[in-house]
Amino acid sequence: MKKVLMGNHAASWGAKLSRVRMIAAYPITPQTHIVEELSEMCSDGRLDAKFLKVESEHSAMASVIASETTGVRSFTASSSNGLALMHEMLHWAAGARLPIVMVNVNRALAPGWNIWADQGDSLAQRDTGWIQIYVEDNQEVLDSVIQGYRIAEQVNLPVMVCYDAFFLSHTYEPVDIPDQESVDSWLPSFEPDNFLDPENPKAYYGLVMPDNYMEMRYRLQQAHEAAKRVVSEVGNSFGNHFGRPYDLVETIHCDDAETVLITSSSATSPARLVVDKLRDAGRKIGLLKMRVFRPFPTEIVQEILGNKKTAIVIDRNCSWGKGGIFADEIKGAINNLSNRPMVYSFIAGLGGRGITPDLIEDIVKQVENSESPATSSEWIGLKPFN
Amino acid sequence: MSDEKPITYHNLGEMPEYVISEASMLWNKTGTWRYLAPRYLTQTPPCNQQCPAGNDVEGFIRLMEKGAIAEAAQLIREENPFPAVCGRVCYHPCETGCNRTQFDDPVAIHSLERVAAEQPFPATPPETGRPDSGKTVAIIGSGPSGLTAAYHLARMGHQPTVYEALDEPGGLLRYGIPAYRLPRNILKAEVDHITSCGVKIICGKRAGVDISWSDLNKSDAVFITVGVHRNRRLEIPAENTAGILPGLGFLESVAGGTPPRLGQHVIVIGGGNTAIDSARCALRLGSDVSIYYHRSRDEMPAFEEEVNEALKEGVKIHFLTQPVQFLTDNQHLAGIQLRETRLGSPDESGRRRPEPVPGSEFDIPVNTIITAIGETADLDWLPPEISHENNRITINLFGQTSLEKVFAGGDAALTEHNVTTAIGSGKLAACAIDAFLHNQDFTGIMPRITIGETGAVSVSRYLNHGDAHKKQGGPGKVVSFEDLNLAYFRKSARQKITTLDFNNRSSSFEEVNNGLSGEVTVIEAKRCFHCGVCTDCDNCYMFCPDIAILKKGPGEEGYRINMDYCKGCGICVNECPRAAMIMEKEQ
Amino acid sequence: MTTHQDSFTDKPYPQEEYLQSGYLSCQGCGGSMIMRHALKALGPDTVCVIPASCWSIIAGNWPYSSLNIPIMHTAFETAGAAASGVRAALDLKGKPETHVLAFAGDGGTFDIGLQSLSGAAERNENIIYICYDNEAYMNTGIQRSSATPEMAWTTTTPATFPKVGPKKNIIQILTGHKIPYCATANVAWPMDLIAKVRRAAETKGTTFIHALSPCPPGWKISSEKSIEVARLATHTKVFPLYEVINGESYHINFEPKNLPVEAYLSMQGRFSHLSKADIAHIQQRVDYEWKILLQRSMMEPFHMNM
Repeated sequence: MKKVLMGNHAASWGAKLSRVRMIAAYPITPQTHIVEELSEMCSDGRLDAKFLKVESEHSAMASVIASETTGVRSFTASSSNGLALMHEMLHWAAGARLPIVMVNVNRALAPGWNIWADQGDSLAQRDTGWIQIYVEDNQEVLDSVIQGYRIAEQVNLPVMVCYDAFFLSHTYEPVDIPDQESVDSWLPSFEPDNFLDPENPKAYYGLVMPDNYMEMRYRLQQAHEAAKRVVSEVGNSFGNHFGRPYDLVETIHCDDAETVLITSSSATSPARLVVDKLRDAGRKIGLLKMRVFRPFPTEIVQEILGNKKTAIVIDRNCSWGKGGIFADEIKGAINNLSNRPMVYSFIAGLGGRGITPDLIEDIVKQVENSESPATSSEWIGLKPFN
Repeated sequence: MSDEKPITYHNLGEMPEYVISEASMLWNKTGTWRYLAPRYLTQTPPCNQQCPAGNDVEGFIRLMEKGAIAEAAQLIREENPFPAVCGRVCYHPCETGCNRTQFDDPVAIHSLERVAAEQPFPATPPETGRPDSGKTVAIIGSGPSGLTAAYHLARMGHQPTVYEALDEPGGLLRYGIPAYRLPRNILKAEVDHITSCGVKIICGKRAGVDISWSDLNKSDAVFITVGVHRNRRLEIPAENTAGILPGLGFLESVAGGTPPRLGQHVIVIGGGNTAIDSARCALRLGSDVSIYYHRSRDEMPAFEEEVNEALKEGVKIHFLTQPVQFLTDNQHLAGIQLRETRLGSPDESGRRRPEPVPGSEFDIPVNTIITAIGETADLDWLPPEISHENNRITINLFGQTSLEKVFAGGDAALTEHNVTTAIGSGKLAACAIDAFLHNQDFTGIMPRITIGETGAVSVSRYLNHGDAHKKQGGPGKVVSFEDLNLAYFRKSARQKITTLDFNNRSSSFEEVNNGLSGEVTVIEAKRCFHCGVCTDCDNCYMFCPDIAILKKGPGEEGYRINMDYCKGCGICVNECPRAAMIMEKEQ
Repeated sequence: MTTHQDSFTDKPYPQEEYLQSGYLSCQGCGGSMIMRHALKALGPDTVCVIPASCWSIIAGNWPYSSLNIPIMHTAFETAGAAASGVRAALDLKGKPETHVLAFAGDGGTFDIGLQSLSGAAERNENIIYICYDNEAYMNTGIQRSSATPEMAWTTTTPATFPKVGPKKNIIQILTGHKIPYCATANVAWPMDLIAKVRRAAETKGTTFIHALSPCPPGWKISSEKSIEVARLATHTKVFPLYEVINGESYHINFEPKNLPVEAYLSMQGRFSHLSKADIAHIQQRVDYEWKILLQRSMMEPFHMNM
């Protein structure tokens, strides 16, 4: 069934089709439609789930951690300051190895108050142990939520599906909504081995002393390593079943490219136009869409960029005091390769400013005209200094 | 997974992937944290130590509290064959010692004992498991001391024979205590029970007159408990005049059913129990009675309760007055001259000595005077090897006289003259005689069987049967009021006994005290603090923060401490209401 | 209501244990007693949520647990939310009869966890919340919390500058949510505590029990005095025992002996710096609070149909 849906409703549909049983969420712009829609689905019976209207994002995450620990598939959604408030519990969810799926609508952090697109909120949660998927359009929002549960429940890691405020959250696009039966036949029901059960009384998440803590954390890291394979497998299986395959990354014209443009989230769409245009003009340029940020697909990035001349990374985020986060991660991934491209890092579109095809084309031109990258990320689209 | 050993993971493969528990903490023996350890220790309740007869007071109250009245009576009879007598005539120092006194009012132990004794007698005395020894013991005198000794000696497998000079057994119980305090049928029932236990009583045989010392001496052991029957004289002019009656003789004749004729007005001289009993008897025979006593109320040796009853019945008591001479008219008693006294410095008894006030003499015309200033024993018949001094047979700590096989007790050997003390001396003699008959050194035994630090001996402990320690308090320390945790006790009124209406007293020898009624008995018994004795109240069990105190289990009373986990916090001991636990250094 | 010390004829202390020895509480710990009593009241069909508190340690380190019921350790401020999540999941699994117990300290209740507790209470989640109140952050080494009594010493309120301001009245905060059942309880009255937990379990909706939990190291008392001090807290009216139904109907369960507060304060090292004037001030406060409680207990509850 095709429907024209805003990104937020695509997220709600993803949760509904995944047959989540417990939703705990706190409203925040621009995420509100997700919870409104789910709230309605729960009250009119379309979704057999409990919607716990908690008093904060922190409590939302605490509640879904608890309900997942009790053995019930759970969902939440947040954004920006809300996600920041969840931070402690994000660690808890991953450390507890709970297959929670959440949606984060990428929004700038205050102050000053800004409700528009910016990846700083979720990238600040980089080290919490969550799988992070950055999606490009509304169809991918829906598909990634459903895939999220299958991935999460295979590797026992929580999954965060991230997409840009307004560019996706409030923008209507045609979305193919799969049949419930079709999803049911692809996504197994949630049957965890361990859950809070008076018949089998165990203590969860207690004190771990130094003699065991490191092994526990090694297991977490191992799970992320395994997740790389699982994400690919699940994306492939999803493609076989629903006709829309996914992977850790997506490559466009990369095979023979000398220059690779690297984007994530909604900025990928204008980049596609620019690459097509430049290809038409005979330029050897390709596009690498970074879909999964954690676990970081180091091997694939090495494989794609190993023999390239130039990599251009556009970040809608900044690690203060360092620069573009994707750029930094990519540099880290290819650092030990003997043949590696020059990496150009650009920061653009913070706080909802547009990343347009023209802007991207300007970036490519600027790279072509320079001999080597600057030591720090370059900010694009700033007002002139005087 | 084993609970007894901690889990150590040697490789990642055997380690769980998640922070989910695998086993209990039972391997963690928190007992190693402990510096001091609690221990259950039965300590001595003050009532038990205070009882001159060595009754397990706390023990029988505990049974009564559960409604086990017959068992309570039997428990008393393990120590004392006279619960019905003591429940009436004992001066109950147990109540004086009762820690409840400092809280509200003492437990009515005296009345509870009497209720217990109202149960039908058991077929046999409490079991001792002793076989017949074939040994004989001659007991001279059938008062409380003699009969108690006889009862226990019979229980211990010996053959006691009691020789009584008078026509009926009971000694002072029968001839000294008036029927309105101790009805004759009550006394008879307990004496009969004693004889049914294997005691032979031969009445009308006065030692030294009807039966010779050499005959008595043929027994394997002898217990002399002849009492005090000789009236002490005032040693003032005209003391032999008719109309002047000796107190004890007067009480004996009343008890024998042949009271003398008394005048309308009767004067009693003295301040002891004989004086009070004589006054109350004279009142019941229809006379007005005045007591004259040479010291003040504080020095009066008579039991306070009896004095109060006498006053309420109408007896007048004049203090600080002493007789100077009897007044006669033609060989007939015409009156008495008295004079006032004042109290000087204390005498050897510790009481202040009365000194005459010169010129204070006054005369009172009266036809009957009863003198009751004390009694002494008649010991003239004793063989010279048995030494005595000041009309008292000389005995050691456990009643042995200067002859190894001869023991003595009761009023004839003791300074303190009362029924309960006499019973205690009978018990002590029984134990000491038994040890003597078995060639055992009683000096080593006595501390073990002494109740508390200064109490009477316990026959239960001597016989060492049953859980004697639990039954009779622990050794050593007596529980003081300060030792108790009062948070667990509520104030509750002492139950009152019913008494005979005063209008009926001046003409009747009917029993004055009616004791506790059935329904309030258990209420009163429940007032007992059970000082030093565990009652399974569960405080230690409930308050243990470490679940280290466990119930012993079905069918078994009490608790055990799991030392593997006891951290030694001491809450159990602090919260024990009754000091039945202690904290101590471990061995 | 009768209490253990009022009467020995109460229902006997339940013998089933849901806690196993070997756990890591200090000598004389009130908190371990409260857990033991509470679980006896609730029985085995119970899931417990424990936020950061002494109990995070007491229960035992991984891979062990000293409890015979399932427990979930959770972050400091999340007892209310975590219990809500467990409740929701159990209901969804068709287990509405399983008890959900949130067992939190005073820090996790009065301070950092107040928000999620308020959230759960406002939603009237069907949970039992027990705050074992030892009146400071004991697990971290005796720092003041908003449950610390006025003028008490803690490591962050030294004797030269002791805790300023009265202890937060948590019951008033909870009754403000109009939850069906609130009660105070005291380790010194285990049968009363058990009766209240049972009542809480029988009540649908959020129930809250504020249980005084003496802490020998934190209160600077000898471990054997733990119960005695707790008992004095009630007898001096410092910690009255009462219940509040629907946030409105107050029932005082126990008439205090009305002892002077000095009897309670003087037993504890954390109050050893107090002057006569300080004690008089505390006495005034206690008397005033008691008067308010008495007045509340005499008020008619509000009826919706009036």
